[in-house]
Amino acid sequence: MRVVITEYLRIDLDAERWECRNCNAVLGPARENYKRGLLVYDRDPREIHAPQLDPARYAYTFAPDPAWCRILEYYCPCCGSLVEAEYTVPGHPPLHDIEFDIDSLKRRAAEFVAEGALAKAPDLTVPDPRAAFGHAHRHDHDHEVQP
Amino acid sequence: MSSATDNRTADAARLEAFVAANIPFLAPDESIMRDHRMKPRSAREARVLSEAGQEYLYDEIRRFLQGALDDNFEITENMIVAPAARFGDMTTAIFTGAGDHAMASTKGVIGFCSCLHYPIRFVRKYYEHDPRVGVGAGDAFLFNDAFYGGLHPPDHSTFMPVFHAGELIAWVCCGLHQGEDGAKEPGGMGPAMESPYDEGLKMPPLKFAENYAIRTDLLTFLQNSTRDPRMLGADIKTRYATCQRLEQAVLRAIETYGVDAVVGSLRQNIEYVAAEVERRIRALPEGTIRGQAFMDSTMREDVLLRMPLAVTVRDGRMTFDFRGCSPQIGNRPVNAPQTSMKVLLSMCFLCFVWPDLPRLNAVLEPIDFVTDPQSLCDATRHVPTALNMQVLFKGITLTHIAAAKFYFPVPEKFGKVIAPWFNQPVTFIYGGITQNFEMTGNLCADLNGMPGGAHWDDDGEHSLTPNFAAMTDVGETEFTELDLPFMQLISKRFARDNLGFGKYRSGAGYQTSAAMRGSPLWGFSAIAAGSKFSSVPGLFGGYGSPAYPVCKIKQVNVFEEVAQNPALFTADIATLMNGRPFESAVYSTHRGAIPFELCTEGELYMVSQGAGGGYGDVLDREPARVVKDVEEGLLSLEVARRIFGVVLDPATLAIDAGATTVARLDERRARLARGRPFDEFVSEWNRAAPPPGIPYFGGWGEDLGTLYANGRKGTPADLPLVLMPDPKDVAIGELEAKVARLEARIAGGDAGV
Repeated sequence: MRVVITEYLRIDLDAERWECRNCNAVLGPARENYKRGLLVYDRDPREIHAPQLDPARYAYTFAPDPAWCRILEYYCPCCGSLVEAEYTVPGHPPLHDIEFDIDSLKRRAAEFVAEGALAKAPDLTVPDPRAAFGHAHRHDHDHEVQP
Repeated sequence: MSSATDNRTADAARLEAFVAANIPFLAPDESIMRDHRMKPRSAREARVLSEAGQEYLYDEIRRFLQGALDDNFEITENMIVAPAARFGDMTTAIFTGAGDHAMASTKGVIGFCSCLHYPIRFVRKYYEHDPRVGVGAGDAFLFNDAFYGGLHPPDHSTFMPVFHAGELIAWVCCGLHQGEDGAKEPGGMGPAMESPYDEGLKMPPLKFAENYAIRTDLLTFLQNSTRDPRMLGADIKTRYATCQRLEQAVLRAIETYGVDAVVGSLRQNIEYVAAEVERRIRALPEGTIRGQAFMDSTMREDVLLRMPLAVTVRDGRMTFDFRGCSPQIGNRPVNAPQTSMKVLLSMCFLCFVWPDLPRLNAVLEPIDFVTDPQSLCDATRHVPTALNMQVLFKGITLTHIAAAKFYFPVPEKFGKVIAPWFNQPVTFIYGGITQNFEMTGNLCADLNGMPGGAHWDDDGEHSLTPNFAAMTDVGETEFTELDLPFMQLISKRFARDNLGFGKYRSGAGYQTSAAMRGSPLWGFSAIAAGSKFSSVPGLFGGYGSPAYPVCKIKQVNVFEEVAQNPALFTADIATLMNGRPFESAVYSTHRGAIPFELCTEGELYMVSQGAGGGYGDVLDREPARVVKDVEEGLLSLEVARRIFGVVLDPATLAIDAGATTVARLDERRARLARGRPFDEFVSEWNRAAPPPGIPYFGGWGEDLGTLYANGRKGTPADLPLVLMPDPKDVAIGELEAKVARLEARIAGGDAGV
């Protein structure tokens, strides 16, 4: 059974692995930090939150200070979905934010939202980027991802 | 037994009685303050609740009392003078006789009352049987000290007992944000408060009224201790009147339904909430969700204060573990007692996660808390707390994130999964002499105009309500200008690109300004942070908020300038600050907190509400939503193209669907090209300690047992109290060093000086 965990992540409880919900890529062991299966990029926050005031004139500009704040962007290595944007201090070890008890999840799997059974879960209709990467077919099998 | 033994026993008893009656100081009682849970059933409660089939009767009683609570909320809101309370920053509530929170008004800020079990228990333990105080019908207590259970000093609450046939059956309460309380800075909150004794009135439970009459001497003392005695006096009387009406409502319920039924209905409500929360926690996946916030200000200097939170669900219980949080700062007002933190988290649950539940403190019944003593979220009572919202609001953000991650996989939800709400108290605190020649000090209710985080299926709401309450108001600009000697020339205006970007975007926060007009003595302060480090993150790939300064245009009278040339003024911060239309003025930006300062007529102060968090990948946002944001002035064309990958005709805003698809695919390819495998990335990225040059406080990485504190390092128990130098001393020291360098160069014959 595949249990949805976030907008872009699910766990295949049988295979005990993280998967991308957008392209079905296998990301890594479910008992490890899902971030290990993703690509990471250290983003200067001014590229997202551009200064609104002239930086040459003002100390504070509505943009975060890049010496204090960075955005770690985590991408699915297959489809490039932005799975998580972690605001952190330069050099701060990435947070292991989701650590569910896999054995408990497996025991109680029927209690959670399975992929494809989203009656009360969010609308996950998204543009299908797989066509651009040669994955236009629906998956009923898995790919080991080679980033 | 010998007579000598009898004498010793009698002496010991007398000594014990003497000591018990003559405690030198009734400090906050740790056995009360560390216990956020309900008391065991009383004998009457146990007997009454053992009778089956009373549920409909209890429900009818609660509906009756709920009507009284909500009616009196409305009445009080319309009678009260304190500006924040006039726009919803208040609550009415009923407690059991033992002091357990049993009911609350459906509107307002629940935390003003859901913390009152602490002072009520204090009164019952220390005052009730003290003949010099006592508790009788018509008595009422006033209270504001955070370390006896309140949130922070500017919040004042009144509670009074309800007696029936000589038995204490319940307590009724009215709590609200009073604001001005005689603190060092006007309005009860200010960055320059450096000790608890700068914070004005510090009231443990104070019996200010007896047998339905307010003690004139105490009232006069309290009024005389603040800048606005008229307001304080009126509001003390208003709250007391509210409590008396609520007392009558409870007595009418007893008269109608019987005392047993009323007691049963109150207790059952508490037990229902506790049991239902436990049921809901059992439905969550077991495991741990971790989050962290970085506060970038002590309110006087730029720093990074880490606040980690690990929320663990196991066996129907939830644990909030804040260990690794920054140590408390001895002379800055950002410290929070653990009790305040608990109350704020209950507000988050009751407003956003389980908003259908009766609004009671019992929501915390199955929740345990772990904190480092003497940390920002478990402060000692010798440090100031007036601006502890910095810590408390971050706690709400972290709870939002944890709730979203626990609830996403769960089919039965009680509120939407949302990205974090905006979390800074952006507003003006003011003080001085009004156009009506009265001294005052308080805050603008713009604080309540925080925008919402993005939903999992829709965009967030613009400046809707604060993150600590679901139903409040921001107040009308015209009312503010009528009462106070300043004009809000920029008022409730949205700026472009002030959003948390994502598949669904956050709501937008509005800009506002203030310029004094017609006062002989007036000034402002501001109390926000998040000027260097985004205060709010996004969720599941969504981005967070920008950063927000205070902007000033000083040494100019904007009113005179605009009277001469109206075209000079544009109601937009960036346009004014970049365009510099007033030639003689001085333009500056500052961190979001500025200590109280006097101003002259027409000097302009400007602040901006921030954005909530965005949800999901920006490339998944429907292009039509992007266009709508551009049309509404919320988003620039540049950001629509660069961040969202939506290609528009700048003239018509028509979407070029083909070009948009290509742009978005190009961005996905670019991500794959620039992203690096995690292990490879962290091998270079991870530092063993905080970066040099950043004043950093708290644990680093996963090592939460070692805390950093501005160059020092140690365990939470080892570190000495952090005391920050006066920023003016720092500035003077820098200038003196500069002078010394220059003098040395002159002495050395440096002709270039």
